[in-house]
Amino acid sequence: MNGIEPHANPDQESVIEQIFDDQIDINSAEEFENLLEVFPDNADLYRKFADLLVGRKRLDAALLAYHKAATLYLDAGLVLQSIVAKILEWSIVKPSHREGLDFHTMVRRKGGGGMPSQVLFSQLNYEEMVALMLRLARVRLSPGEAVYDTGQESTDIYFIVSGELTETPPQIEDAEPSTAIALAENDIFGDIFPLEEESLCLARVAATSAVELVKISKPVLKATCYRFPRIRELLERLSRIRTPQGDRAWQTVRRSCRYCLPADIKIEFLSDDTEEKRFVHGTTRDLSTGGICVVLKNDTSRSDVDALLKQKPTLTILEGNRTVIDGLIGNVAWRKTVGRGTCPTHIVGITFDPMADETAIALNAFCTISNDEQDMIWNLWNQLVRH
Amino acid sequence: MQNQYTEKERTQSPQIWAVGGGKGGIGKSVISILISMALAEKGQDTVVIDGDLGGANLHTFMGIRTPSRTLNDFISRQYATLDEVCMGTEQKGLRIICGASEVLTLANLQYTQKIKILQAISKIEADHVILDLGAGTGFNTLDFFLSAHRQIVVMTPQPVAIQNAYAFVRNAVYRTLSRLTSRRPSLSGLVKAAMDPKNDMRVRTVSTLLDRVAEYGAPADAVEMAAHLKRIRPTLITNMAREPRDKNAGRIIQMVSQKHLTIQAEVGGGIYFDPQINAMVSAMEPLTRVNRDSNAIQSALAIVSHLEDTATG
Repeated sequence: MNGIEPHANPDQESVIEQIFDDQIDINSAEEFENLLEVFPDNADLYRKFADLLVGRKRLDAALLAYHKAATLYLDAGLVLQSIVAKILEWSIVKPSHREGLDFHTMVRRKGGGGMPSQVLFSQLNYEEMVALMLRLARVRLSPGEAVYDTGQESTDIYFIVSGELTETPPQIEDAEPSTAIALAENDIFGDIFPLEEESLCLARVAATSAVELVKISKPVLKATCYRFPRIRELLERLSRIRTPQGDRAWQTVRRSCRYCLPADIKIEFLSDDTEEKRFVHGTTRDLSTGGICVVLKNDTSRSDVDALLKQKPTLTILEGNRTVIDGLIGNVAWRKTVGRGTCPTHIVGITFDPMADETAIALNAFCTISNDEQDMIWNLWNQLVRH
Repeated sequence: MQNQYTEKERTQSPQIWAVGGGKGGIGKSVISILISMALAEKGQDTVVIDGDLGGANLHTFMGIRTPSRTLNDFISRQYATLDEVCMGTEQKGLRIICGASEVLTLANLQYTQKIKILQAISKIEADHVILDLGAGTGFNTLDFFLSAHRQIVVMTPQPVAIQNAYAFVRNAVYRTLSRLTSRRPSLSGLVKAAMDPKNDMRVRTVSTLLDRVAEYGAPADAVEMAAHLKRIRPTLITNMAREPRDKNAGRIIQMVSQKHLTIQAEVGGGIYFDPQINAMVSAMEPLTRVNRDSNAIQSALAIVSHLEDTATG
């Protein structure tokens, strides 16, 4: 009909994204395990879980989590991210030659994609891949932190594992203002060629979000390239490629998990004592066919959340007052309260029970378009429609 | 009422328009009626059919509380043609075939019934037939959509509605490919696997899928599939636009479809939010009484003119 109420706020951030950005802190292994029940295919969550386990010295569990993350990344075509997870796994227990060969076979089989890191690692032979893996060192940056400045001696080449940076060329007098170029996952940067001579950084590169990089120093790379000249050839070409801003989201596979566009959710459950029907409302940007994370509305009471935990809730996806999908039944697997004071925000992660065919079809139609397609819709909506 | 249409000598089947969109509450029925009215205003004999087989309610927008004849009367053979179940409306040149929500079996239409309805639609004595489809992306809905000469996809400017409209177009494309390959198990398996956006074969676009089909030793099938995809040319209409930018919602689906589905969708324009329509729907007043100067009807007239121009041009 010709009337619709405003739906979820489009600025509502994904809970999963907020966990990656450390805006929501998950500080116990048990809590992570509960969250992974809701999103069992999320490579980034497994990677973060594994990092936490290493911090707690639970190396056996970390080994398994890194292994799972590496597999899921590779399934999503994220070769560099998979390689980093594998490096961390193998730093706990060294791999056999067979395991190394198997991993390389999988990289060759599942790798690909148009971004520089994807092109590089999916083209390397086994010896070349191992030579690079052994020499990569991890770097983490906070937003605003610079990797290097213009005119500084160039000492390393960098691969972006996650996060975003900007590369700003120096301002030349009497010329147009220089434009910063965005760098993101799977880009390669660093002005270290030619390797035989001293070189200077041609631009300033700084992080605009929390960033994870891996790098190789110039002397180490020089020695590696002496033995494997094809690595030099590939890196020299790929480190100069810059993706046009508008094309980035279309070309890169950003995450292994799909993020839903914002939707309103109604959760129905029975009260503990009176067995009366109760409702809480919220929004989601994290919806898959297996589960959902719902940010409950601010007026949701703690007692409602407590009651919800003990019940089997039924969920309805809404747009305004109208039902998009109903009859989703599940279990609360994870709960989080963020913010302090009198008005904290409650978040629940719910795993779905097996559902009727009709509901499954509706849910599939709602959330089975690919990351690329969703990214493109979302970017274009921001660009063309958003007021 | 019927005579005024049959008196004309018709040599051609009607132009069939299907109005879909994947999601309920976005105004498919209102758009169907507005387009029907716009065509009738231009002197074209038009029939609007309630194709929402599971939740028929189009008649309520025409102020009809209990239809005396419905689509089900045709299915159950009480009438031999769809013209006989048409009911007149207050708009000159516009008739309606009401749906039958009380008959649950219609929502699970059998193949033979579907073919019977499609054949009967093509024999309706009218210049245009507008088929208002139900929500969702069920096979019946997609098949009716794909059988139409004019395929209209409705959305509102909200991201969720755009995503749903895109999912509807995507499913229509894959339904076409599935039907084409249904007797070729190896190709059919490839198409089914490609529908999963996370498939192991790294097929992320229809264009890659066609390349893969050709690589599997079926280049002729790939060419045939591409030819069928060319016939899917949905016209994208944004309903309930409140600002000029809102009408760009169609552009989004056009660009994403071109890149990922290898089809050329057309941006059909937008219809501005019109409080008069809401008030009439709430009061169960026939939409045919809407003020002819209203934004909604003027937008519908512009869309129809644009579509007629592109069809002839």
